[in-house]
Amino acid sequence: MKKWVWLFVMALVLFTISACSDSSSGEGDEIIIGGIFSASGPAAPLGKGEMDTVKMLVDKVNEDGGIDGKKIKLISYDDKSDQNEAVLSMKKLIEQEKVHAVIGGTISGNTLAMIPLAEKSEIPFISLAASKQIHNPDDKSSRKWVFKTAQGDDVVIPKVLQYLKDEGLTKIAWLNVANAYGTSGHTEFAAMAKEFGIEAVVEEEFEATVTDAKAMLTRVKKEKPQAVVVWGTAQESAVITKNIRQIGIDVPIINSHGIGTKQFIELAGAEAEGIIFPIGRLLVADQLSDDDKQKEKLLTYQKDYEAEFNAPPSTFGGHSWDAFYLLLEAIKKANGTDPEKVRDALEKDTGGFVGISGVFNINEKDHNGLSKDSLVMVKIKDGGWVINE
Amino acid sequence: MDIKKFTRSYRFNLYGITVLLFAVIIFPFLVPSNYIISTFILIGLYGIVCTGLVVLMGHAGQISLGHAAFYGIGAYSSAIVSGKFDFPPLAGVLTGILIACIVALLIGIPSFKLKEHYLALATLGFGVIVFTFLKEWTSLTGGLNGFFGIPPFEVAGFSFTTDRSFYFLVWAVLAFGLWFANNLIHSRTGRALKSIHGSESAAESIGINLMTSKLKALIISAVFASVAGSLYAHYISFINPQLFEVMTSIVFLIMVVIGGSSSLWGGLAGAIIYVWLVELLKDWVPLLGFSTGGEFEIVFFGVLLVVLLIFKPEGLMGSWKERKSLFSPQKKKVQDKKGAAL
Repeated sequence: MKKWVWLFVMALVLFTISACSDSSSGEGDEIIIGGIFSASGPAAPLGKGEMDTVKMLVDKVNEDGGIDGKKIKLISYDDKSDQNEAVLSMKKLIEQEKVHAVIGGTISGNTLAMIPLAEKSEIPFISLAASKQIHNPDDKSSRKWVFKTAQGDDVVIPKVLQYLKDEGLTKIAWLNVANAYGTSGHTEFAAMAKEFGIEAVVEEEFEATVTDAKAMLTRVKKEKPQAVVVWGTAQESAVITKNIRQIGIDVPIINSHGIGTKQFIELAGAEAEGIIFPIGRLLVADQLSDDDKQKEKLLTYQKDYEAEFNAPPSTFGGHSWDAFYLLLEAIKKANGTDPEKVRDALEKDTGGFVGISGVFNINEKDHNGLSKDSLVMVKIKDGGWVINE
Repeated sequence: MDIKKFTRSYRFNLYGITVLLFAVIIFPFLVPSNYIISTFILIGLYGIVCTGLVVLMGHAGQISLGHAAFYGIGAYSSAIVSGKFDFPPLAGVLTGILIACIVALLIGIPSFKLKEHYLALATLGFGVIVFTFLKEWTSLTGGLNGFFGIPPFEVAGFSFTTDRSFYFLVWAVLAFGLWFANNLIHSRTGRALKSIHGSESAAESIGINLMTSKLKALIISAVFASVAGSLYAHYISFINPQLFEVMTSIVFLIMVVIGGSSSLWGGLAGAIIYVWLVELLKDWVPLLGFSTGGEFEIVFFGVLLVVLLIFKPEGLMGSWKERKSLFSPQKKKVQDKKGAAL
């Protein structure tokens, strides 16, 4: 008997707690933005910078007096890289906190799980993850309320293919890491290679935990490719890159945008020299010519972020910078926070928006709006990055 | 344990289920927030899995480190059958149940031939196999990119699209699960399981078939997990293999240990506490000055487990009488031994 009495009491207590935390939002006098980032867990290296960036920007805008006299209130949650957490956080933001828009979804999985909620409750949602399914799904389900600010593989792969074509490297070896990042890169590559006249003479997969891949690379060597493309993130790409040079494959190596950290250069050591990869302009902001549209914003972001957190900003933080200012732009254009108007403004009135990841041209057909020109090919030289165009 | 006490606890559990059903029906009218309703949907889903685990752990005395895999089998069966081949969702749930049964048999038969806790190892390995399977068979499961576009659950033309309707569905299934488990625990099989838990040799000596009894418990808990997984897939409409990794199995175990595996209500209590603590920590942690909750949470649940295992090793719903013996546990043990020796 005591057992269920206890259960009942507990349910009651929980109910009271939750009823108390039901916050009523003051209508009209502030702009409430929800944020959901993977600030801890496996995706923390991406999500932490995103969360910090948005927090920093909200403070900055509020210090400058807000937008049309309205202050911004940011309610941000850490989803711990966990899908259920992301879904519950999204519900909480929409149902309880009554946010006007949501920025977040560090990883594609979490974003995809949150999308049905944004669509159902008709709240503008700007995702920071890269998957093509986020704005252009294979099953053609609705993405009316969903936008994204990261370059997906549908933008990065053409950049790489264009480079290979320009350099006359048509017979290449393709190696990708066996996870979501690597396989989606491969899918996109397989679909587009022909268009650019590129042929993969050998295709291989390696595990994210790889420590030695010489056996696999011996097979690659036999095929005599003109270049090797390695599609992975810093850790595993460094191992593969080292191995390629160690067994004496002496052709250009092209890596993915996943290696745009100092960690890669440290791990790959001398073998990192001469590696080429596509990346957003943030990494090489100081080398851009003065007439580059993005340069000023990039340098400002870099300076502000370093002053606040004593560390250089990451491309991922850049994605949330873009999401935040795109949203502000839309709110300004919509003259308020009416979700329908903000959504329409995001779609129609933000053309040519200059951000950190590139120049956005969001339209009805493309809720990402970035083209391959938002990337530059960068070469690793003397332990640093130089533009290679 | 005498029969009288057995039937008494059976009746109490029945009352408990009835009260629970009433509470479930009233609850959404008291709480208008869909967010709270959706936390209770998750609680219900975990509650189903954990009730199955209570049967397996608390009564058969077997530990499974792979229940997330059964959960995943259910989720992917539903996703593939109803999302890819456009069969009605119920067919997906049944497919999941069928596969879970077969797989449980395949794991159970060899590992129950061995004594003690070999099931834990077998299920641990099985969890990894299922994860790899879901990850690599991309044409069917979508691989690590996940499987999205799973239709809402539908039965006899009624589709469960709102949080509230889904909440009723999940808790109805949970109540049925509790009722089923209650009957099982108090049946011949349940008593056999209890005696196996006590001593395998003693149970065998009085003519209990260890293999079939343990298999029954494993299969039932696998089916519970599979059904919960199916419902989860229909609710969220997006799944990916990472949801069904070993860590999820461990989270299920934590819930059962917190709630207490010896009571029918342990699984549900554990699920409520776990989900709500995680939700509340989300609001409390920033007040303490941490910007990220993840690491903090791991430490918090670690400490909670240690404290619980010291002061209430039977779990929160463990029988209240045990508490008295907590202060003189050794004395009791000695007595038992004497009794056995005599």
